[in-house]
Amino acid sequence: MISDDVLLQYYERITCSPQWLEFNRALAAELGAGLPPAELRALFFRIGERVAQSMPVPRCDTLEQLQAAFNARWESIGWGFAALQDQGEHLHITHAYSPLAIAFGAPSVDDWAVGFLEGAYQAWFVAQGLPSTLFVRAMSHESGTGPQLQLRLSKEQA
Amino acid sequence: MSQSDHQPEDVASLFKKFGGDAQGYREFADPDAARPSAPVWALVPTPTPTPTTTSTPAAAAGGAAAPLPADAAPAVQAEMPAEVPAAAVPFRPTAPTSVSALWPAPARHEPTQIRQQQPQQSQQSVRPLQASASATPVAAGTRALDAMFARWAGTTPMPAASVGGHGLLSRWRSQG
Repeated sequence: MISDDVLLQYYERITCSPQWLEFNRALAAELGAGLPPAELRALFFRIGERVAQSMPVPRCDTLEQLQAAFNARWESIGWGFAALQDQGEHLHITHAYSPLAIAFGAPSVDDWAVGFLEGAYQAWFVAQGLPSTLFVRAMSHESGTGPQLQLRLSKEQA
Repeated sequence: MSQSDHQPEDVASLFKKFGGDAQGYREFADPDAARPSAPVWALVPTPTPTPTTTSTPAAAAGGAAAPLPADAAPAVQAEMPAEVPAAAVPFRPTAPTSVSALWPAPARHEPTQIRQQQPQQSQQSVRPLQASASATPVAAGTRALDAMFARWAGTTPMPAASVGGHGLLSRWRSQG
């Protein structure tokens, strides 16, 4: 049985290259000092859109196919994996083991870096024919950032 | 009389000569002057030449702290030339052996194991994609995903059981 601490330590060690870790942390600090969180979140949303557009997902018929397609893309760049859950009136997205918390620091993820995942999923869903009234938004994290981020696809716009 | 006052007559005569409607004629305008500047990300707040930068007497007189962008930029520019040469001096080429030590051992990574494992993982994860791509094309609006989108967007009603117990006869109940 492998403890959660061991898994987290492994995740922290491998999820961001030492070559870029200090650079990313300094970049996050500089961005945080230069822009308000709302603008940074919008900036990272656009970055996420660009990355998603660079890794297009084929047209899928079911939620299971879409989840598999998402995870194939995330796996190809080492960005963890996602689970999609239909909650009736909205879609719940759990994204686990993204390098955001390690690369930019946990506070940055909650404040603005999670905008990357919002933009990426939004772009992928739009390419699948998502109505313009639906938006992907990160949910507030009750238990800190951790290795999992919770997002929601619904009519609610932040 | 300026030159611009004669322009409509010139234009009218030209249109009269070559045909066409002179009313639709528009002068070319400088695109930079006509349009506002494109939106850019203001990652670094750039100081704009405002009256605060020209009102130097107050800042020069004294101890009052000036706005950060106006004062910070010249200070950095003044310090940089003094420090850069000093930092550039200590460069010493190291022995080439240290470079080879940094890139030592491809054998460490045990490529045989990685090559055996990676294709299996990638095939497993990509298989649903290949299946969906090779599947018969589904017309828009008939996939399960479209129904979900419509439900989340609220354009289609929830299933009767989840709406709140109206049941199959709700249509007649609401009429009565």
